[in-house]
Amino acid sequence: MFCPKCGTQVADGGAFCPACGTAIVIGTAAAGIAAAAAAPPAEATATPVVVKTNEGAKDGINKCPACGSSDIALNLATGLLRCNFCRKEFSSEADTLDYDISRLQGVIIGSGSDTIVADAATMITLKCTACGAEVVIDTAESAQARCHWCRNTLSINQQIPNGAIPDALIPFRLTKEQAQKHIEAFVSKRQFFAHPRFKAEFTTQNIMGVYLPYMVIDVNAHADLRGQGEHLVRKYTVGSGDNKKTYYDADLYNLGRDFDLHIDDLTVEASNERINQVAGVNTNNVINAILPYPLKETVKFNANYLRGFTSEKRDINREQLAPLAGAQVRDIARHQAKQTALFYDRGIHWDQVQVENKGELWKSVYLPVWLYSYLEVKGNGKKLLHYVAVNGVTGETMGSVPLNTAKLFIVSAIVEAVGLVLGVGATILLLFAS
Amino acid sequence: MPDFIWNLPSLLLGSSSDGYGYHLIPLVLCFSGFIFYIAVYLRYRNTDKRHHHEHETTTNIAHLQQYDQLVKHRTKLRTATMQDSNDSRIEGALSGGSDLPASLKGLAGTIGGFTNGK
Repeated sequence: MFCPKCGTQVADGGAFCPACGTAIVIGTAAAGIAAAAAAPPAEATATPVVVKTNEGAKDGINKCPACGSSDIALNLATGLLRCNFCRKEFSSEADTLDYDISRLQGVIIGSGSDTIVADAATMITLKCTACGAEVVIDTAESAQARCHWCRNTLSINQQIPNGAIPDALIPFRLTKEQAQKHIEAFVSKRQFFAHPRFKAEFTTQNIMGVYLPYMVIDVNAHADLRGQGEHLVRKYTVGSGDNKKTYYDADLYNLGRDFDLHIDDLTVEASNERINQVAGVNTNNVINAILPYPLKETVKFNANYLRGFTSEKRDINREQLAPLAGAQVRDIARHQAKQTALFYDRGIHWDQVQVENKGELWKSVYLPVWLYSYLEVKGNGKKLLHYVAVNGVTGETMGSVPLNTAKLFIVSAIVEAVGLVLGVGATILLLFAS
Repeated sequence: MPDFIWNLPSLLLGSSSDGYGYHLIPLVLCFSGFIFYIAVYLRYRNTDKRHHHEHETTTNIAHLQQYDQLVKHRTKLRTATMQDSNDSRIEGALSGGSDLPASLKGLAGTIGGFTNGK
């Protein structure tokens, strides 16, 4: 196929023109979904159907629909964009990349989720449509810049193959003040064993609102699980004195569960830094713990939502995330099967967990997080960055507080000493009692 | 606070095979300092916290077909739970010590490539 803009030949399945970077789109959302519906199952499909999610988007000045001003920012109280000149509030279009999961066939991806091109340009030069000046935007840092001549705000709204512009986002709803209260409440409950330097330096004044990149996946699958389960029939004790023993009688069953599985908005991190969650090395797991988000509130990407916040661009491709997503789909299948087999109160051993995928829908999404960070430098010189993260919509909070390990060790030793004394006493009492 | 800390006494007492769990009270007391250290560490650092994708993700099942076939009656079992049960196994958690990003690199495919896991 050929690039519609410059005519360069593009390899089949390519999402962007290698010459000019234009997104190669196989139809619109409706056409893409219709094409996908006619496609064979996901495993047999080599080329995903790409659905354009930024149709009509243009780089340049995003104007207020009422007065034409480009001074627009998110109003956290309403979740709407507000013109700072005439105060009109409006919203970006709702994200339309949604579909009846039970009918998903093949692989469908939003155009903002396609493969990142390694050498894609991050420095984009826009011509200001108000004064004609050329303005450079570093998309690795921001999707907006101000024209240095006429002060209009210029935005990148078209998707570029470097992961900086997602298919959709959820705007912040929590204000900075609300997030500060969440973080302060979280830390105030963890004061006694907190590191003294952390306690002295703790302040929520510098918390950051960050849009983090995620992949959101709808899955239409078929699950077939087979194994054996045990149901408790009787529990009884035999013997007397020290020879008393408890036994269990149980019925052993062969069981199988076969069902269609419709997973809505499975969410996985889409940046190498955030997906790396190794305890002791980083505290990214606390950001993972504030999921999930109300993903029905996603809107189409508009750079004005990012104004006043920072964002991390996606640097992982769908193909790299597929194994992780596959493992999570199997976890969900196992969990759902368990809900249909509560009769087996002693447990189930699955010999086979087979999940056949029929369809997948992938879209890249920016999700809002209020982030407090504190760099702990330990005695041995090792550094650990602690986060306290607040879900920018629901307010769910999780964090890591640096420990005063010496204090904790001393108190634990005292508890251990008291426990030993009580343990020895209890042993003597039990010996006398028997 | 992690569940296993609160459940530890009942776990120890419940798993006692002689039916007299209170014999394990001295053992629990002897390890109280270690238990306290782990409990406080986890409360402050939350290294065990993660998104529980297996039940926090909206999911529907349809066209359920099932069979349950009695095989045999087992007697005089010594454990309170089925040995080798794996119905709560989690494969897709990012935290827990595994360096998934490294293991993800170079792997490609669709979700549908995953079958026959236990």
